[in-house]
Amino acid sequence: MASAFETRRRNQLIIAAAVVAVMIALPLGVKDVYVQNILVLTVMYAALSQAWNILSGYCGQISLGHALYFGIGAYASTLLFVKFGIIPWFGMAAGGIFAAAIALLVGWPCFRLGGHYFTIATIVLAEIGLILFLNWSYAGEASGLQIPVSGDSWLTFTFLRSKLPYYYFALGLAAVVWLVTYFIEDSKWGYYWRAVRENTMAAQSLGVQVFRSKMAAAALSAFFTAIGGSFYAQFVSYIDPDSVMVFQFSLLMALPAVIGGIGTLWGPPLGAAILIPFTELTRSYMGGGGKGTDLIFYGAVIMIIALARPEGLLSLVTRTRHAPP
Amino acid sequence: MLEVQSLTTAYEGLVAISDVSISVGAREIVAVVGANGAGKSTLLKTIAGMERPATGRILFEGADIAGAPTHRVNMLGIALVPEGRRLFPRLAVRDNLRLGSYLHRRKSDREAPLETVFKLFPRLAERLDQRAETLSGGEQQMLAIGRALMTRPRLLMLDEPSQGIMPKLVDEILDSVRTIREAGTTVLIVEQRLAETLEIADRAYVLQTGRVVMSGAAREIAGNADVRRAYLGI
Amino acid sequence: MSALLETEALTVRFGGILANADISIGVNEGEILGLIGPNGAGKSTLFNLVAGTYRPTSGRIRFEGRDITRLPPAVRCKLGVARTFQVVKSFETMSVLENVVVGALVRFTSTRTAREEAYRVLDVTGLTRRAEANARDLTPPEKRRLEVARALATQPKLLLLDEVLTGLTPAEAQKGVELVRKIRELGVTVVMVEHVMEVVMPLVDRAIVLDLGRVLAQGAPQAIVRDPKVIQAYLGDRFHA
Repeated sequence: MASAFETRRRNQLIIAAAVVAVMIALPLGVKDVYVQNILVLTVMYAALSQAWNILSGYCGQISLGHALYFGIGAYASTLLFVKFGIIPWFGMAAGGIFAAAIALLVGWPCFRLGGHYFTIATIVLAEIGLILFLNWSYAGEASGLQIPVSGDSWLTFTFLRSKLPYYYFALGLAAVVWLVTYFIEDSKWGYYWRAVRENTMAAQSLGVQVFRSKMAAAALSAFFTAIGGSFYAQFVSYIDPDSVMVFQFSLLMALPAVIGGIGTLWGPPLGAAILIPFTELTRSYMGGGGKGTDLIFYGAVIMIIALARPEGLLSLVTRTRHAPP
Repeated sequence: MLEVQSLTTAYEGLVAISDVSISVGAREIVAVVGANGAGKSTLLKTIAGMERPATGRILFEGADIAGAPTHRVNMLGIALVPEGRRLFPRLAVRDNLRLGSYLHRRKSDREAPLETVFKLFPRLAERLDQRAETLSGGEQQMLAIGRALMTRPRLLMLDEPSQGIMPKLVDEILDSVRTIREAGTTVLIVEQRLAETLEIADRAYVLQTGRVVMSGAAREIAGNADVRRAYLGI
Repeated sequence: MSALLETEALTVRFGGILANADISIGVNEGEILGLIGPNGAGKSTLFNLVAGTYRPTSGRIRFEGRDITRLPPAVRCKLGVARTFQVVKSFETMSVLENVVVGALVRFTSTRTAREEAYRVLDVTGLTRRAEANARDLTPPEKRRLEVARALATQPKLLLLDEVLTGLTPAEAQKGVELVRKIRELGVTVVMVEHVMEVVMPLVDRAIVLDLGRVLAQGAPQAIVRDPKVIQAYLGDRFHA
């Protein structure tokens, strides 16, 4: 029986390798910049949602304030680049570490709150972050920061002519976060996080240090989310609080996992593959008119999933069903 | 008046009472006794309609009420004084009593039982405006019984009225149960404290792990050494 | 036999209620101890004090000579005190095996060795053929078994069982009794809170009776059931038979 388990694990890796191979080949025939854009965003959200999934899916602490870490990542690498000339590769790492530290700092009071109160706290904290950045003159306040782009350079990670390098970076990031999640699934942390999600008291009685577990999940999740934020800053070359720290981002990081299958390995990428192209396409139809329409859409999606198939769409394909937290 | 036939109630696959049959005649005081977990509360809750039985019948004055919802059971004339009293803690004594009376449509019907309750428990009349949570354990039990009496039930069921109450007050409360019977109400009382309860009961049933293991006249049960085994296992 | 666990004048107040008063007991290594008493006697409270879920108002608890009064449940588990919950708390979305692995991970850092240990525990508790099933899909008696298996996987020295035999059919209860005996044979000391007297009294070596928050009597089961104080507590002050 032990080898059946190992076979299942190996199959996951084989499938992943196949998927990555397809994803590498996918954009080579695509010349349309608009479509390239959608591909980049899809893969980016796959990475972001996978990172979110670590804290909210596996560990069961639902955060609707991950835009905070996304924004911290974006600002950290951009500030370091624009003000100190530090290349984004180091900036990204710095942003990730800084976001992880912030996650531990806010986790200290927040993880004492249970369930829904924790989620509300995350929303509040993200809003506080937004307001702080809107008023921080060093970071450009509401005007934000512009990243100078002079030509294609892997050193400064800026590209003018094609979106493909961005795509491959984002794909790499998604693959890394997927791999991290893959290792989590069969690790002490992974078991402990799921135990905390299912029943905190029972977990404690089995020797799980719940608080420490939640903090670890939060730090890891924030780290990768921030790297995604740094990436995004490089991708769009211009950031301001309203474009990287708003609530919509928090939702967009959560939705792919919820749609695809929260707390599963393949849920976030599956959900991203379905949701992101769809939102991008509908946005071009509905124009940009009124920020409300996308929220209405997200709300409707959440309700449909909650009513029809709370485990997410992945459960249509796999035999093992995981119930939602 | 009440006849329970082969009643079985289970919670999610765990059997609480199994094949229990008891009968309560008009104006009797019948006691159901047994240790914790014997199923006594479950029996009362099933009769009151708070739990659905898996099998069996509950005949109240000839009609099968098994599975009927609690408010209907109440309307038919059965009132339950629940385990732990379940009062409305922040409401006054007066309001707790009033809330018990809304079964009757006419105001006069609602007010009339108050007299009886106050005669039975004069202490309640003294504390009409006090919040229920500030009453002592014994007074709370009186209030709970009073509340049940507001519907003028024909059958009054009490679930462990002596729980958490000082021994002196236990006697007072059990005495009041005698008075309630004398006024014409039939009583089914479930208790762990066997001796005191058997002093006021006419007949008794002993439950052990969900089954009736003994039954008979209260006096006989009280003198029976086997009862100890039913409680203590060996 | 030496005292594995000792309590010293353990007292707990919840609001105005004195749930446990001045309780000083000992649990001997290798015994099966029953903790019994009428409704509201304070058994659950004492159980939870030893498990670490409640903190005492005053008094001490010593495990293997070491003061554990201030230690949280997770640390007590590492030291060797494990417990089950009366209302079963399985990890519903995880398989039976995975549930037990969580317990084993307190002793093994590698998931592979933890899994091997989990399989061994499933074998002892008779759940091997349900290893891959989702905990959610288990019958209530099986879920009870899983509670025990999970706690057992933490390799405890002292296992606290909270009403594990309640509500079972006589056949299931007998299997439960056999399991408890098997656990003791593995070298685990067992303390059981129980109501189902006819099953637990023949099983335990010693029983402690609580009433109104205090220790009423302790000793061999045969002596306990003949103790007039105990009889009074269960059957009422004026029981004569």
